[in-house]
Amino acid sequence: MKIFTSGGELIAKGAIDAGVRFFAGYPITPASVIYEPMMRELPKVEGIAVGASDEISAISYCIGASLRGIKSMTATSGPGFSLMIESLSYAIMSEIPITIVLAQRLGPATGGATTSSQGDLLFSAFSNSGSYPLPIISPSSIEECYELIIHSVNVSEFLRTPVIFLTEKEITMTKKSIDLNFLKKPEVLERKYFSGNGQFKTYNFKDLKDVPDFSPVGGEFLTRYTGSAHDKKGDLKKDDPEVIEVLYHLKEKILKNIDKFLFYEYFERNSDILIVSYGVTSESVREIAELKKVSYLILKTLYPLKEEFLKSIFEKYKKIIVVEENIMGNLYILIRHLLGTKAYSLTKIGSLISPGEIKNFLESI
Amino acid sequence: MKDLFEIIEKPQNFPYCPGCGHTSIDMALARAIFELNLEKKDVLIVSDIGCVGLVDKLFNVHTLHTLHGRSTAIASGVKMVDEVLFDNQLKTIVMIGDGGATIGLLHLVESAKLNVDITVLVHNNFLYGMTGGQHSGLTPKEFKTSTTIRGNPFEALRIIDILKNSGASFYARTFSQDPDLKDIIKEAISHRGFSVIEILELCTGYATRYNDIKGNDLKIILENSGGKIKEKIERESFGLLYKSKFFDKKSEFEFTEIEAERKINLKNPIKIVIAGSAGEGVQLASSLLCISAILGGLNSTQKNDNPVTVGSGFSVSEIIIKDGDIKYTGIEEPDYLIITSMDGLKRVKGFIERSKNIIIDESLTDNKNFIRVPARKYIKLRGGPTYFSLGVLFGKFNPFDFELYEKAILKYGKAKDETLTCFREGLNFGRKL
Ligand code: SF4
Repeated sequence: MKIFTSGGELIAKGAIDAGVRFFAGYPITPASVIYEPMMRELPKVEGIAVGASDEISAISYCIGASLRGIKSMTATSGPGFSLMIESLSYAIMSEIPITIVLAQRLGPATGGATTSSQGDLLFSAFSNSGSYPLPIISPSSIEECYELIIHSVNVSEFLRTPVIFLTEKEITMTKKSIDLNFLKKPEVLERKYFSGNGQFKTYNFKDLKDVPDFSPVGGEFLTRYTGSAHDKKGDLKKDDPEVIEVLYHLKEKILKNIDKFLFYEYFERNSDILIVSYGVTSESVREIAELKKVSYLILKTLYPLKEEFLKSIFEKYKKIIVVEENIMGNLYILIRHLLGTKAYSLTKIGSLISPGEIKNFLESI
Repeated sequence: MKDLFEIIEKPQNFPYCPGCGHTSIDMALARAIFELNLEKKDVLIVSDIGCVGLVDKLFNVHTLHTLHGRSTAIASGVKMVDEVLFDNQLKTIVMIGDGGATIGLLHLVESAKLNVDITVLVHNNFLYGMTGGQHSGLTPKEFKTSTTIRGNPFEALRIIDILKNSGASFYARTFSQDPDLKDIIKEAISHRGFSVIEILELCTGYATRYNDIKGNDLKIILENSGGKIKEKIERESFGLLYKSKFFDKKSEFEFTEIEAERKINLKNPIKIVIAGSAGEGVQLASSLLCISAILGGLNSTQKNDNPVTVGSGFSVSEIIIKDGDIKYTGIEEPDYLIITSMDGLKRVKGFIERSKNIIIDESLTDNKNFIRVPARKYIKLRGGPTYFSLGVLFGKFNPFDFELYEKAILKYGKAKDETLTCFREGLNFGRKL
């Protein structure tokens, strides 16, 4: 049995299979193809899907739902994500799991609603005040939406953090024949609940990298959630070393647990050329690597990056080309200090980068 | 609970300025919770930003300190879930000031409209206290603040009127010294649905600095601005409505499922671009083409292109059919380019040079190298030009078994008779070419 479906539908299906039971959305191309199936499907599994009056409401509803203990998700594109940013910072600070699907379209501003683009990597990686790290996970094909949205929800839950699922119009809206049996379903993970042993503190941890045990608002243990600088108990404070410790913890719990969400595809060939890419452009890279017999590295965890790991791969190559559909070379900017001297940034906007364009570039260097 | 001070700090420990209205409101709220005999774990206080946001530490219940203006929306998220997926025990009380009410106005309106089961206490002290007594959206006309030193020239926003008209099912307006305040709060908390109380109060830190005003004057201000209000409307809450309207049909995730009927042998991939006008069936006809390939045991992809409005302008689909895995879903050199309208022609001009075969409506060109067909003759029928042109493609080139396309129409199409007729006419036309 095959299905004829889009990345958007697979994101919805994956999210539901990952245990998401709350979705709030506001229509925006190219993320409406996630909003619609969530509205249609969530009530069937006794979940809640609501249309919000704007993207700020959408993410706020998700934050509230997650605090009550339910896995929550929203989906938007650049303009809507711009509105969500303050609340995203809040979710980082108050350690609330939520998954935000960011389906990129041509920017800036309203840009081109129906034009594919990969311009929001830097924007989303540095989208919070204070510049704290938050995981960004990106599918490199339509079918991978299913597997990686489950990973994304998992990561948000076990690290108690917002996670950005970064994708593109040509992934969410393009339809493809897919064999359901070939979709990979990772194990579904849950946030860790406080067991009742010892004293409950909303933000308790021993080691900076520890994720505090969760207890919901309305649960048995009284909680004190806040987006202001706070101690482990959740009390708003300023002149207390514990407040600074909590802030360092927000960084460490992401960076020190990076191995738990390091997703990539490395295809090694006997070649001294490596192509690095992500998202929808990966498919062109796969196609051309086959033909030109070059190696490639597809990154599916786009932020934070495990630098020593990347370096160990990059060292093997004489020439490295980073291919992506944006103006500045977003990924190139993130990794250029690791690339060595012979590094190239191949970028373009307006339409997909085709295998032919990569081929021409390879022949020109 | 035996003692009121199990849930609230002693007033002498409050962080507010002496005489601040927040003290009276917090105490009234604590008494209300106490008299309702609620368990601590069944109460959630959601606070906004400003002096009003200092409330968390005072209460020994669940507390949630949020962003400026977002308290109502976050509280609504909590309560939607609590009402629908849990036992609806959690009493959720939102504490906002002037800023929370104006920044969060849309959230208040939306939650009132949805009748989410929360209680909002609007602490209206006519200005922004924490930041230094600047005027706010709720500052009355002539009222003096640090930013309206000669008196505010504008009228205050009537927050209760807005929320009443947005569908709040319980709304009240009073002042902080009102002896009934505790009972009104009790009623609001007990009400199932959106309840809001606007409470006029005095910022002793700033309001008194610029205006000749004392606590007793609040009653006069209240009376001069519409007086005390308390109304209750019977209306189903968000959770009751959601459960009754949504939780009825249980079924599997709805995918377009296709069982292959046979296995077609296809040596090379087929790449087809169909370009026409919005509303003329391009996308559906293209989906059916992909489905027909799946019926034949092949793989397919469909990448669509349209302007922001789906109902006007061009509509283009790029379709790849392949025996094997399809990676890149774009098309560089189409095997077949179908053009059914001027909109479509303009959009795919770049493809013309690179296409092997072009099927185009006869009105659009005289070029003899193209296969000119009377596609637009079928414009009266649903998707006519597109289905006719696809028929021509199958009739002339026979890329794979046309019967599979007919099956796709019959099983997955719309306006099946009309589209089938057009397709067959095209098929016959194509065969004769
Ligand atoms: S500044 Fe005004 S609102 Fe703030 S605590 Fe003092 S009196 Fe109350």
